[in-house]
Amino acid sequence: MLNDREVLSTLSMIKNENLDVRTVTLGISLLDCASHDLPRFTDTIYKRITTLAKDLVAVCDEVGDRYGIPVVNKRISVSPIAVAAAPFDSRGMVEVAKTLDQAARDVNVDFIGGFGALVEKGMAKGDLALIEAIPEALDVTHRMCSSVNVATTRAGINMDAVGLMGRTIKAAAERTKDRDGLGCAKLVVFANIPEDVPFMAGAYLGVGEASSVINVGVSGPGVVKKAIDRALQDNPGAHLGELADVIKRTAYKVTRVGEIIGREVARILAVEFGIVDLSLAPTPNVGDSVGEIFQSLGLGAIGVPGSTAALAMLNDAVKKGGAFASSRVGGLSGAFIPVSEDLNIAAAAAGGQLCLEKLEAMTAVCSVGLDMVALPGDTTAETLSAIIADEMAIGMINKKTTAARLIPVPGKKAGDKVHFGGLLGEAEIMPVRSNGVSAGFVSRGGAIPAPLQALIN
Amino acid sequence: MNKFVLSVIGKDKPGILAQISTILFTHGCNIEDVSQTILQTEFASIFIVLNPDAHPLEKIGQALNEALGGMELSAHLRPMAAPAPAPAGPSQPFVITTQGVDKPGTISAVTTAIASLACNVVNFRAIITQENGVDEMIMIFEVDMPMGVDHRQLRQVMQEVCARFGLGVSVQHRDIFETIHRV
Repeated sequence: MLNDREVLSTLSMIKNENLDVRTVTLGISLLDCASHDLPRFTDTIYKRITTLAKDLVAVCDEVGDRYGIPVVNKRISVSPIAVAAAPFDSRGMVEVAKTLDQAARDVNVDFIGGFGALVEKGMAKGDLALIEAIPEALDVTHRMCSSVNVATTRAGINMDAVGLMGRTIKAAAERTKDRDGLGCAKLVVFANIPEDVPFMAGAYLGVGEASSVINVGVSGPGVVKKAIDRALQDNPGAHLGELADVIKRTAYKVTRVGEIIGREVARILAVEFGIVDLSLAPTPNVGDSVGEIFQSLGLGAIGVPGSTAALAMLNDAVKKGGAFASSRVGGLSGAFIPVSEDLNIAAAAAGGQLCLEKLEAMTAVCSVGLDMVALPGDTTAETLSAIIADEMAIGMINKKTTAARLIPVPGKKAGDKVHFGGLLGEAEIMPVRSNGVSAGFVSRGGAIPAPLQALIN
Repeated sequence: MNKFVLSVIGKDKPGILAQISTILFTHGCNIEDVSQTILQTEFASIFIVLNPDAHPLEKIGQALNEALGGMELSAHLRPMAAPAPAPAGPSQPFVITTQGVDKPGTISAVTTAIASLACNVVNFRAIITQENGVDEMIMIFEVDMPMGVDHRQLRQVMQEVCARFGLGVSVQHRDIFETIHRV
């Protein structure tokens, strides 16, 4: 017999606090589709994706409906295309991108990820062809996302790749300038990219993964905020340790939802169940914001002094609760702070409480990085690369994933509004201090060596 | 096997169970199963009692009512019927929750709708709360839905009946509640 509180609190989490499963992502390996013949390759991957994923959306809807939990997004991640399509040049890569996009459209998923390369130590022919194709590929597709891993703790930072990615981001922005540089919103540069991320734009299926696998991304920043608010209403003097415990318990509940939905979808599709990514992923809706949690914890806004400490506590508590709730945890797992995708964070950036440098500091303790940050259109490629290099260094040294999804919006300056639409949201452009004075460093290229794993202070 | 069903209803106060169990014990009876609840000020319980010495039920009933009468309680006994009919076919557990202003006829209409799909209510609670000075009722039905019924069909039927009474309704597989709240 259920007790009343179990029923009522579950309903409240779904109806009032935006509890949902943010994404069920079907990972599909394309490595065995490899061919030197482009039409044959695109034909094979199209068939592979559309066959395996043909029921994905219907099954997710059916399972979500049965449990009364919305599965907001259904997505696909594929093997890194730079590996699977290594024989092709950049024009061939663009054709592959179009095929991925068409397959995503035909099975009705909102995004497909994996148009990416792993170049932390060096760039092979396929990697270079793929990176060269990124601007056009993002321009001519709608649902395809791209990611490039340029650093790891064990390999160091490939500064040649970092330099190239700065130029690639500029080119992608230019090609999509009529859409506020939207192409860059689907392009992420990573350090220590996990092989099983279900969230976009970084989702891809690692080469160490099974042929097909279901990975789930749970969310629920609204649930965490309301739980904190309730705890403070009951006990206005609650100290931070008690609030961390509230967050932990709430993360447990949220993660359990992902676990049950993911396992059921995997069972019906007869696909291996991979991981639950227990991230607090906001959407541009009131009550579904990570930024609001900072205010509930007693800070004026995200970005003010105290924010890094609050985020560290939040991120850790989410992991602790989530790890206990799921048999397999993976992906990014933590709190996301994407500027344009979170109304409250976007407002803090517009209001000046959150600056780029503070955002960077906060990424040292949270799960992703400089995410969905709109920058002035005149930000130079070298400065973009330098910002990326800083972010990669944080990931490399701290043995964690960091990423940069930067959008230098053509023709716009700091303070201007940009609108990406949908989940990608809108924001004011954040100023970049000291633009254009990092070229000397970035253009040296080469590699920043991997750090010592001892003497870690 | 000589068994009877005992139900006791009345004002709640300390010592009710002590009285009942003592009287049953002195008649050589053994309590096999019991459930009790309290609604506002009212106590209600149901016992399944083994009566190995076949004491007449009238005697036991008389003893119970004499003891409980002074406590504003009444006892009712009846022999336990023959074994239950064959169990129902396979089913899935679902939870139906409705929420809205309490109006006459609501429970009747909702339970009739549930029964129309051969769903068996295994647990039902109604909670009255005050929302903006108006009595609002939350009803929670745990039902066994026959395998032949689709949950979308159940939801549609529930939405139709609840719309007539201005109630919000949700239909969810029971596992989600246990999964979220229990370790």
